Amino acid sequence: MDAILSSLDVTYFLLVTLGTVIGILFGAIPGMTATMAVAVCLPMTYALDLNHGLALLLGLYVGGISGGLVPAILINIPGTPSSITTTFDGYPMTKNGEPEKALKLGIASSLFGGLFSAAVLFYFAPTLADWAIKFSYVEKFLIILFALTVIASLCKSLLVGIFSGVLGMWVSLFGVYNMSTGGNGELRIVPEFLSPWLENGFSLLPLLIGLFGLSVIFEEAQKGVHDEHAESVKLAARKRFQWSVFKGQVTNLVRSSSIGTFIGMLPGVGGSAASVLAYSQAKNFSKENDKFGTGHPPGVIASESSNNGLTGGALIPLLSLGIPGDSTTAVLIGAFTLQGIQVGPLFIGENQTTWDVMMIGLVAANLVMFLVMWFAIRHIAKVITVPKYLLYPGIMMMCVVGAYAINSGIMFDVWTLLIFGLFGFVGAKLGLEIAPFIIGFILGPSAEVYFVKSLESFGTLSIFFTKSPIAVFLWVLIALSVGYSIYSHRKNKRLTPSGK
Amino acid sequence: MEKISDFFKVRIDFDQSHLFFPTIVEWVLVVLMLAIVVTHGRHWVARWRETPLGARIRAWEIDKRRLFGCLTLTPVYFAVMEPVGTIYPNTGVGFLLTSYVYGFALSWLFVHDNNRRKTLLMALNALVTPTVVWFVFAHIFRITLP
Amino acid sequence: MKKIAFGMCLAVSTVAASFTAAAADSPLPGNVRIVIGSTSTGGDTYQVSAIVADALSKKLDINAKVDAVGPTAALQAIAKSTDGSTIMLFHDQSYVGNLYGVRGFPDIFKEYKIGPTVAINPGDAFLVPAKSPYKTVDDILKAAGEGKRIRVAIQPGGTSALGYTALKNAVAVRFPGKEGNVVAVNTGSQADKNQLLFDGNADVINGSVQGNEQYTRLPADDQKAMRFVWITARQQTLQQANPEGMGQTSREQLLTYATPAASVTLDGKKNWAFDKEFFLIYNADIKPEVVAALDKALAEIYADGSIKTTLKKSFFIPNFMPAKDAQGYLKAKADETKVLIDKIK
Repeated sequence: MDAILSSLDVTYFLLVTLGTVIGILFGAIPGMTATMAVAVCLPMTYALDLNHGLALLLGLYVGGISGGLVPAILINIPGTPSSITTTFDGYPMTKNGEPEKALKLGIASSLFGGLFSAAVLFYFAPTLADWAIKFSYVEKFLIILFALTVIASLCKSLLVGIFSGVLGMWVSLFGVYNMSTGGNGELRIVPEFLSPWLENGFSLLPLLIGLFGLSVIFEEAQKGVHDEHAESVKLAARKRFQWSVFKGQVTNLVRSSSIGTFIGMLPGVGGSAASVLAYSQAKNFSKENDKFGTGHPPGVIASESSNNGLTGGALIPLLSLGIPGDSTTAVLIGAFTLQGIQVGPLFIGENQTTWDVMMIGLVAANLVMFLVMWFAIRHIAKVITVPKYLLYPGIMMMCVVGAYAINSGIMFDVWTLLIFGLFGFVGAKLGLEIAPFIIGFILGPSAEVYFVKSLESFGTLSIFFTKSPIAVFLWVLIALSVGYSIYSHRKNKRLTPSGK
Repeated sequence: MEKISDFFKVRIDFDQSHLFFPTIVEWVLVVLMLAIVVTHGRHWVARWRETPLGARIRAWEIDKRRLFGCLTLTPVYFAVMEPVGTIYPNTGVGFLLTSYVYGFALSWLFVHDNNRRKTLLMALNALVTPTVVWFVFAHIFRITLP
Repeated sequence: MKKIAFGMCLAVSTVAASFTAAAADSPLPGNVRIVIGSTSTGGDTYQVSAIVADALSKKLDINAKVDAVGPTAALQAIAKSTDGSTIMLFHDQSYVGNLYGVRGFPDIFKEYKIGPTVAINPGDAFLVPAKSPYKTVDDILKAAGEGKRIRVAIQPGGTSALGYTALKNAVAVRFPGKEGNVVAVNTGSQADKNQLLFDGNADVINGSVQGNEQYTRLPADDQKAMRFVWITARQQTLQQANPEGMGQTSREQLLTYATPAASVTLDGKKNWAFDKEFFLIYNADIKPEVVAALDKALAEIYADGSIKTTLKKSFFIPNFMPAKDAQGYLKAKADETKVLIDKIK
């Protein structure tokens, strides 16, 4: 106990706060991610001892995941991949003149998700880690498949939506079959002469901000960048935030946070799947599912509570197996090893103090995140009153910095921005659905690896049905999800006979 | 029973495994494309006949100056960034200098009813934003910029 | 308007001043970018690079910054830089990739210049489940010789694949014609390898002392429990590690898993062992002054000694060898490795 208290000095909490604030900054800038924030600040921790270093890094992690909601809600560009689904209802809320409400809703949901996952981490980490290793390639493939069924419930036209999703998957396979995930390192789809640039295909983040950021700017340029006429967003007169929006949303909060924590726990499945799954489940379970996508608060709640639920979840395999649950926790491993601390199945038992200090840091970071953002909201929300002729050049520069930095300085990533800016601009005109495209792109590589590796290990397709009770259960979920989406598409068609 | 399990059997040659999944995806794409043509094709053809392509593009009301200006400026900005950066390698100066110019040019292109006040704002913005971004990221956080 | 013009001049001049303020007496630019052959900022290459970059920054009063760009991009980056503003740090993978014929790995001895070596990671290891019938690497080789199929989980085309190739070779030497019994299960991250072991889809996995040591200390009835069977580093390298070893496993215990105690023969007489060495890679036409300056700086850094403590604390073995010696040494190592790989192809 004394050891814990001696680590919890003023510096400790200052570092948590500093980390959280920097993290929010990184998260809020389109193209900058929590992973980048942690990686960039890692060298700063060399000078600190382990507990203080972790305070900073945990702050960065929580802040970085949370900050992504700001641009998602205000300017329709997800700050991080895991806030894609926040744009679906957050931005429409801004358009309806409720940016402050949307932001506060997102922040409060983030806090809930963060604390929920911290509690799960604290009480169940080793047990859950033992359960998580029951998920082999086969089960992980089914989870990806389950997440892909989301496309069916998000798209406007079933056929075009699925086509867009599969197209996204196809684009994600460009380049070599990555050896670091067990591939054979051979090039496919891409012709040989393009390989100096497309050796590793397109990077997710530049593609994402190209599709969301640049294409919006192009679209506006086409329309003539009229501030006056374009969605006359007025900040709603200082209305007090009504906590009653959360009424009836407890199930949604708990379900979404659990999905976040669960996905975070599975190494390799990837954080973006969490918010996508949570959002679509919130939609499927809702009685008012046609309201989703039009500025419906439960959409923001689902998305934001799940992506913060990820944080504690991703720390579970890290601290109880020594295996990172997502890309950010992979960087955290570096922080441990540089301090000479091993993470593995015996970590918690052997480093009780560090473990307790980390838990306090995680909870503190969530609280700081909430307080900082809650009180800064009014000022942050003013971003949307900046005239576009000043705002767009700034966004463009941020996108460039983010794209260039995502792989530590690759110029092609900046060109990716442009390529997908154009693709999104033209694609939208041709009726392509962007959200399914991105979901396909994000999940494509994991789908490939898990599918092919399952078959390499077992040599038969029937394994996907017979591997384990978990697999059967996942099939039930997949079937329900698909069935429900088709049902609601039919229902909506009947309500609006033209189908448009 | 034997036959059913045989039917599901798959053998993947590791050396060729990079083509296995893409091939499946490509086939699915083709099938979906055909399905879309079958279900929506007639509708498209009808629309095509009603309003020719040229008329429909005109209906979009393209602001040519702004759209094509933006579509020219941006690639130029990206293209010169790296060469300019080689003047002082690894300092992010390529980003900094080109962003001053690009920032101002894009604002100039996008603005309506320009006046002295707006020009001043644009110049200030073009100067301050890149400098702050560069200072914070290239200097404080030591992120590599072109 | 004037104010802005003035402000702009001021900003540009201060900025310009900060760039030219590089170390005047050093042939190296003031800002050095160290690109690494890994995209991970949590892995061993990043750690070694961070330690070396930190030491170089202090020694030469420069800004050295590590960028995890991956092998292809790193080689492309140094191909453009002859003034030493961008240098690369990577390990044996840089030529092993070429020997295995992996895309994106040119012959670095021909197309680039080899710089000094800086450290060794002696942690490359092979593990079996705690309940495995195979207690030692010898059991594994014998079992393969007796016709049992041994599935080894590795990441293809890399240094971890070398251990697999060596196992196969040892079977070929001791039980000719039986080497086909050792088969690779190609996979990716450590998580995937561990998972294959938990699922029973691999008999042996490649891992590391750092990453798997705690698994070897789990109670035997735990599904996750593992046992070391082989550490591929050379005996004399492992002997330089801190006596505490890693975690609760002492150096003495670790040595029982390395040659000669654990024998994987190369040719029936000599055991095969391999050190994963980290070294710098330069542009082929890099200025000789830069090479000399980096050699000198690193020689002083290693003579001073504090870097050795830092490296050893993270289970690395300090191993400085100036560029000229490193070139010949690594070329010889690559030629030896080529013989092994070609034989088992």
